[in-house]
Amino acid sequence: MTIRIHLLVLGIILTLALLLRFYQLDINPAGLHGDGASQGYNAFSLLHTGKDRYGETFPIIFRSNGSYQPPVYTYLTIIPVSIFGNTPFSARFISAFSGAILVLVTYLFVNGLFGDKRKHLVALISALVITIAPWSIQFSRLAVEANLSVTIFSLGVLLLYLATKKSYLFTIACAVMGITSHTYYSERITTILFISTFVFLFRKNFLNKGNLFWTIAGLGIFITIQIPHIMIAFTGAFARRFDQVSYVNTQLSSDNSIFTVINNLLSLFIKTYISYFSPKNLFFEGDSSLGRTMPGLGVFYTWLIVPFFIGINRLFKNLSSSLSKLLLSLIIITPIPAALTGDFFYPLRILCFLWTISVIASVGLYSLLSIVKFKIIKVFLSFILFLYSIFTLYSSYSVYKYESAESFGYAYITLLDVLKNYPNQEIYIDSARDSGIGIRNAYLKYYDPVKLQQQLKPQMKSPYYSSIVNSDEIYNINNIINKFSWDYTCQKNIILVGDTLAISDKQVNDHNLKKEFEIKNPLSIKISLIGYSTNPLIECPNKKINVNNLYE
Amino acid sequence: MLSSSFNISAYLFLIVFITLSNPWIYRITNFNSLLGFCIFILSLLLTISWQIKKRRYLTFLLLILFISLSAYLLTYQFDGSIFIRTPLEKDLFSQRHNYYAQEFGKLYENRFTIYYFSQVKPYIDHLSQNLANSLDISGRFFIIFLPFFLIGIFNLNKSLLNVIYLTVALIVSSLTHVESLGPILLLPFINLAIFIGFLRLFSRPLYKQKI
Repeated sequence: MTIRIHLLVLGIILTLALLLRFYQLDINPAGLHGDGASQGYNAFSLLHTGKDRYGETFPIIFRSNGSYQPPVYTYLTIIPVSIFGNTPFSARFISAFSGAILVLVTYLFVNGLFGDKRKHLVALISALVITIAPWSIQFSRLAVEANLSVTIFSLGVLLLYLATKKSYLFTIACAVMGITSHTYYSERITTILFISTFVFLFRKNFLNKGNLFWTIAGLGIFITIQIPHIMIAFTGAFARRFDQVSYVNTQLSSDNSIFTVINNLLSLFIKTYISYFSPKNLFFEGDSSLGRTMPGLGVFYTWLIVPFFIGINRLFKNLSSSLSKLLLSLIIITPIPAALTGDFFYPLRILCFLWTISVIASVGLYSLLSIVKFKIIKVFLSFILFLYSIFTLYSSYSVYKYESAESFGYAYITLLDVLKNYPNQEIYIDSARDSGIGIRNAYLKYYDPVKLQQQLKPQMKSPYYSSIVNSDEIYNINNIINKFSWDYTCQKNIILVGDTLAISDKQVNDHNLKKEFEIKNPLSIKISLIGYSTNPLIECPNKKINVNNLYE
Repeated sequence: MLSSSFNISAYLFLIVFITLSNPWIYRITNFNSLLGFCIFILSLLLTISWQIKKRRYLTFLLLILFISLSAYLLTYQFDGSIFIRTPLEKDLFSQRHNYYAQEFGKLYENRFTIYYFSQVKPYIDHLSQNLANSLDISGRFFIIFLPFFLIGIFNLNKSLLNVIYLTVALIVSSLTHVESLGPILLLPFINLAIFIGFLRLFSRPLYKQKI
């Protein structure tokens, strides 16, 4: 393959990667998750005031919805928000863009490490596998920090490898790894484990006298970048998310003996850790949650199981090669943080692991295609696999658009349009099923950050960095309020909004409510939200109206 | 001819130990003692045939037993639910029918595509789910054997016998359902992998030695 054809193919793959990640990004998934809206609004707030929505100046981590969000994604989102405005597209832009960049980084990684004369071909196969990998497309289309994190992490791995040839690059690699630890929670652990393992594996390069300076300098840079983490280490904010999702604290605070606790911790860790290696979870429909996988599709295509095993076999047989050392250490290290949480197989937390598996499967795919002697059969087989993958992906994604609407609060976005017909009324929305209503409204309505800071700061109830984080804040966005109480039925000019669980037919009759509108998700027969106006004259003619303070 | 430095009873002891230390064999035996016994013998035969050079009769015996077991499973333990669509699946299809029609238009709204999504895909999904369950190794042996299993798997020679055994065992397991016993035909293969892992780690000189 000449260089010109090679670059052309790479260009086509990158274009496909961009297309699969950006096509209909604003409407598929339909809606916007509360976490994505939080990142988008904080970016909007930082852009205009230099403070987040609680009035904190350039936070180390962002307080949000009962927890904290790592900062890098939010800071980078300032760029798309300033260009494209407050839309779902802007909130997802960094994720989609980094998903496309990951394809390029993967190409460079395999091209640099694969010790074969046909390394360019393997690199192209790897780039294509990442381009069409269901996990990569899925998470590239969601506003998730983990997707940005895997791109920066893989770049860090590439730079670390290059540092074995040019030792000064170790400083840049460590800086990139340091930034990764601020991008996603898992990488706080992964980066430390991986850098240590890497230096050990390539100790001849890094611990000899000639390169020791760069090694120490690199580690120094990594530690320096951890200073913000150290600053909040004892506030409770640093480990807040870990406390929420991990089983470690539950076990440590139990009344069991120390041996039982150790036994429980070990057995939970091993069980969870192994679940990440299960072919069932990786290559079949592993998770029914739509926030994690697409309908009818696992994190990988089922057919990729064969190349994966061939790839792993090849790595085992070439244990001394740099590629084998790197990929095998990555495959062991990357699921560790996720295995410390209570969820069995949670793809979002293991994107670096999934990236490693993709590269291994690509190596296997290359080996598999090498067995085939005739070029025409090779091309035909590759084409069939590609076509089948795209067909599966597209049929799954066309369903995903509709089935994910509920999880991503599509109805609440439609509600904002409907509410334009009620400009003089106060709207109270039940938020029991979706905690992101307030921040989503603030983001999509371009609500003044200064006003929101004034609303939210008094509601914090604890210092900004704390282990106790209030998750029930009330947002009053142009008279649209995410608070629901039957007390409001005695007030005039009120619209109550909720689903059929929040407001039953019996309650409608009991409180003399009048139906104003109903909202359905696209192509769904199920009613998602219903709006009712109150009738205080009939409901409580003699009652003196005394509604509690809104923010209490 | 036996190697002078090697005693086959050591091998037998190891494979018997691996097989009997797996709780799975007892669950199979509780369900059907003859089935449990056959799986036990199959484990021995598969492992010994891996280590013996001149193995024509052994392979023949192994194949007879394997085919008989497969035939028994396919006849008496066939998973009929593969070809039954549950009400939930029917409901899901009717819902997705609208989505596909909206997104694909005429590409979807034709006899062949609708037939594929309504009559073929659900059964492919069932089979693929069964295959996924067969490949799920969690709970198939004590966790302490995992490193041996992994080392064994990646050091398994790609003999035709192994490839045929694994492929047929996976196909049969995808088509059958033996209560909650899982893919029982894979037990001998798992034992073989653990056995090879043991040899690879603790007996490197013997590892490549063929009897």
